Amino acid sequence: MTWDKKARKTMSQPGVGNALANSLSRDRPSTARVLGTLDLIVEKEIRHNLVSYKFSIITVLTTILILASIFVMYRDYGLARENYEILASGGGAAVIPPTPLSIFAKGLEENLCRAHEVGFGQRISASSKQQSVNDLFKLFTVPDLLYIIKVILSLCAMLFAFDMISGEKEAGTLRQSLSGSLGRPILITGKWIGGFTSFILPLFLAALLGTAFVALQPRVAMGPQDWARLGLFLWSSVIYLAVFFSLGLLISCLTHESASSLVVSLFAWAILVFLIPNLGNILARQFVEIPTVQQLELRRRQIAIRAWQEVNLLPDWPERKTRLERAREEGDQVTEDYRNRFDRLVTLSQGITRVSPTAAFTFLATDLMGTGMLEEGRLKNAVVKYMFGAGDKEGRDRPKFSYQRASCREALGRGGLNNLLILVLFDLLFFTGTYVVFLRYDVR
Amino acid sequence: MLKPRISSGFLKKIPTAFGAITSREARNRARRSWKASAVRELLHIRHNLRLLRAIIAREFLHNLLNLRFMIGLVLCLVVTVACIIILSHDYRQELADYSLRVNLQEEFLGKYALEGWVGQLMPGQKPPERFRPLIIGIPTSESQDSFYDDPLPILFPRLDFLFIVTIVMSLLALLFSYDAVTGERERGTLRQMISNSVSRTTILLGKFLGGTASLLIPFLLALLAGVLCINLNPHLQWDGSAWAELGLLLTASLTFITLFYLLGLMVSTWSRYSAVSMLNCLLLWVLLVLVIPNVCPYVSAQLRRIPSIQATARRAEEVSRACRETWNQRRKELVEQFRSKYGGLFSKLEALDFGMIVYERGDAKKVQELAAADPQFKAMVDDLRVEVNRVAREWRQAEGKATGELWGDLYTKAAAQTRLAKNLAGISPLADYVYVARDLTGTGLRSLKYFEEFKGEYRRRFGEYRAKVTAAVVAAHKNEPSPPGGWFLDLRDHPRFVFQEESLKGKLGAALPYWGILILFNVVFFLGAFAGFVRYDVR
Amino acid sequence: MIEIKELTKRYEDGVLALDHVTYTIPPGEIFCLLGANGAGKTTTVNILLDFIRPTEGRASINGQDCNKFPLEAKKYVSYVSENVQLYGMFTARQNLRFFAELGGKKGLENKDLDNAMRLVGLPEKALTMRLKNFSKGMRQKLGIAIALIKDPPAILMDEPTSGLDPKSANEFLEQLRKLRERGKAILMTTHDIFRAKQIADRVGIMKQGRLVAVRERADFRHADLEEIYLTEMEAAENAP
Repeated sequence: MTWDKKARKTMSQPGVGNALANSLSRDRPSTARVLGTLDLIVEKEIRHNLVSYKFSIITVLTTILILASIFVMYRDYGLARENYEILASGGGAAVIPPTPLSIFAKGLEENLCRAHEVGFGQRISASSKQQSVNDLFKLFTVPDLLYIIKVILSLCAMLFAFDMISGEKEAGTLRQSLSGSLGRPILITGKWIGGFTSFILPLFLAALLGTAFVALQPRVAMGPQDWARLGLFLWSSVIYLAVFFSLGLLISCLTHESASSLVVSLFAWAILVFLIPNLGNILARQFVEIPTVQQLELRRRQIAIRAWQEVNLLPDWPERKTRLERAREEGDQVTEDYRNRFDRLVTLSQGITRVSPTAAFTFLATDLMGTGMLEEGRLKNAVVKYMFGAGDKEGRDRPKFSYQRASCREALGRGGLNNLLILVLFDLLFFTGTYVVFLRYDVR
Repeated sequence: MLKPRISSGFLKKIPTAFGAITSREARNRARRSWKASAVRELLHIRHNLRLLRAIIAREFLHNLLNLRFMIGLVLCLVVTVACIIILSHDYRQELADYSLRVNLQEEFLGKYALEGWVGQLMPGQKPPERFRPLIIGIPTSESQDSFYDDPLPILFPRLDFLFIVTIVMSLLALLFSYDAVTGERERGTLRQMISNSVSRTTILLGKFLGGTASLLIPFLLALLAGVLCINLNPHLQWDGSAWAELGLLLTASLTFITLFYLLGLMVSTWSRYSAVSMLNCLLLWVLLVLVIPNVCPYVSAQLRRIPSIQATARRAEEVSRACRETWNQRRKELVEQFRSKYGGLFSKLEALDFGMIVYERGDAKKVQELAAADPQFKAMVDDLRVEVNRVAREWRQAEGKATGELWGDLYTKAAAQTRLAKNLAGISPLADYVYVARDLTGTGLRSLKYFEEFKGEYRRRFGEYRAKVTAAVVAAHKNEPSPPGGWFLDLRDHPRFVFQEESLKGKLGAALPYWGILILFNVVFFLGAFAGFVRYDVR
Repeated sequence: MIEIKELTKRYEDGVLALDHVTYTIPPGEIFCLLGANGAGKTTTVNILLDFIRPTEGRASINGQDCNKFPLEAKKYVSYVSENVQLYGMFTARQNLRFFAELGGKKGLENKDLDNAMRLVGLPEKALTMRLKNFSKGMRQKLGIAIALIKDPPAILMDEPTSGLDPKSANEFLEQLRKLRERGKAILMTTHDIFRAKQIADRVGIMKQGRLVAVRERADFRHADLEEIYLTEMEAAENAP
């Protein structure tokens, strides 16, 4: 048996167009027969996966992880809720309750649930985060369901799919399958459906189990909006994981040895999940000139000090008032400038990192769950309006701070839908790529 | 099942040797046979070393010709260079920002240093760490607890050298070693190798050394490229100690990478099929690298609860309020006491609203004039002042003690929680490596603490200087009333804040225990691989 | 010299792979072990190479016990496995050099390696070709080259002609004859009765772990070895 590459090329299928035409017109099989064969492939794929070591290990691992994560984050939510109750009982501070959805996607929840008060020099100060005293939180990332899905499950999806074609080729069963009247389109579609179903079903069940656990807890109150959000989150997770599954399958079709598929899959995973989102953010920072937070704080403090010192020299109240007003305007301008730059930074960041499905998914998921950048911006605007917009009512006279997190529709409208569409696009792209490549795959 | 066996010949000679000590002839004979055995052993060792070299060379070359080497090389180079270039640029920006802040402070201090406000203006900005182009430091609480903070890094942790080592290299190490033994078995070359006169120990050692050597090439090349980038950067002035730290960091990274190679090797020797081995390796990788470190802080927060910061702040406020009430009460009592004691004299003082002695109001100048004129009055005023100060001191001490207890309790519990989290996470080699790397390069929690201490020490010195200047100014204007906010202080000669990093010895001392754990992991995994390989079924 | 004495192997699940097998292969003899799959042929080779340990009995090569002093015994033996895979990304020369070094041969030059390969009949262009482009026959020849270059007194071969086309198989047998002339003791397990008849000095027939018959060359030179084989197998079945 020779392994001459040239020979392989000349003997493979003539051209993509021809192949597609052939596949579509061969015998004009009836829909029933096509579906019947498809059904056969899907069933065989599912059965085969169910007894494989790969399936058991990945299912056991991910089920344990999902349940453990939900439990840990649920306890954390309990602490956050206790904290909120303490903060809300004292007056004056603007604070919002933690959302139970933070159990699934913590996002920026720690930031959002801080108590905001007006501090020295008309600056809004935020209380320290409860986690700030345990330094170790600063070293590692939060193990919520979002993290598990976007990092670990995406890896598992690729591990599931990477040897579906190249492994079968090595074992010789691919040749066997295609030696009959089975068409390639049906085979690849059946493999996709069977493989993805056997991958996603146990995970979905585990997630539902975890969700049920959370919902049954008395401390957790989820309204209909919350359920809608959670449902959308789970659906977008399925779409996200399908992206990586399809990519794994595509890589399997592009290589002829499962060892090579593995290497390329891991490479692709590392790039999409870690590299592009994180490097993209740092890159965005190069294009937007933005001062550090320390500089901003310093400037504001100095504006305030200068104002107070000058105020002490002024004789009467109206002049003092104007001086303070001017100081506040100055401070606001500095902050406004910072805020504008920051918004530009976030927009640019999102734009650059969207190339990776992981980044698109992170933005989408956190925005949907109400713990994302969208919510952060909204809350800060609301707090500023509350602190300085209510005429001159200070202290106890002010009505209590009330705030509604962004609705599903708003989250989708402000960029969420775009992110979802990006994920769907990736899905279609990778599946189409797989389909096309498999049609001329050399099965010898 | 095969049981491991030690080279038999030499050890068997020992009992006979002892038995033959008695007669001289026996001794000579024994000496000759010992010599012969020793020579045989030496030849044996030399033969084994030659075999070892052949196996190392083969493993090394074999890995080099593999696709994973190419991909690993490309990935490492691209990521490292991109990272370092971007982070260097970041460092430049932060350095500029830092200079700007320092200048702003100096300028402000020059113009607005009124007595009452100097406390708010003291210098003490943290410069960016010199390892910033490689390792992103931990943000200070100042930037974390601000209303205007930047939360993007929470969603997308930033990429740096630590990421390259902990995620990329560990994965690459597993990729190189997961089929070290199973792949050879599946190929049939393991059988071929073992059919020769070469011990399994030699083969395992050869695989480890050859494999690690091939694995380290992409890493070292990438690092070289990165170091070149750093060198070319004019803003980065690294002195000897920085290079020493880099060398230590490199060594620690090597320990971490070989740890994962040995893990993969061990899993390979305990599996029959490469596919199974790969899945097991990745499962362990996910647990050790992605799960355990991230879960531990949350588990520790559950196990060692700490009181809410806000609750403590509120309680501290209440305590302060209570203490202040007590103080007011004591002041009133004092006034009563003095009124009954001094009668008419006291009413004169009362008319002047106590001249700022008891409360923060009153005509102090008038009181001074009166005291200068009337010695009796002066005695009373002095007496009063002493008593007031005593009461104030009492109140402050009580308040300090009570709030100190509250905060102290919080911080002790917080420290306990942090310690627990740190120890729990120590199960994961990633956490141990992160501690070591951050401690060695001064980009971790230890250096933050060190900075705070250093700043505290500086502020103490600054406080002394300021007291000196204040005393001089007050003395110069002793006959004038002080303006609102206090006198302007000329602090142009103030001691400059120049942050000195902790000595290498200190950093090394902190890092050594965790480095030791990494080495222990290495040893355990190698022994595990050894145990698995000597009983490995090569068929 | 290869010596098998009362060799018995019983697995943990009770399967008796070898049942008190005894024979000796003197230098200069080719001994073919015939039998169905699972008869115990490969088990014998595995014990000789210390891949597994026997339950009872002794296997030795040149007087060295294969399982008590395996490293000593393996100095005197070479192994040609059924499906010689080797390292696909290395050239034939690189593979040969590595296994020669493992076999204790140091300081070999390229011309020594090339000579060894030419000796077994590998074409010139194959010498520097990567092994993944080799055909099965070429790989088998390289396997023999590896065995040859070590130049040991004993050679073990496990189904060496399976999957070879007739021409390659003939060339292979030619190599075996040369080895016999050099005084090597050769143990070859095979299914191929035809080739066994062509090359063997003695033939051992195994069934379910027992050595049911040993025939000298004189016995089967003119007779039909296949008939003898089948007869012996039947006899063994009917025996108590």
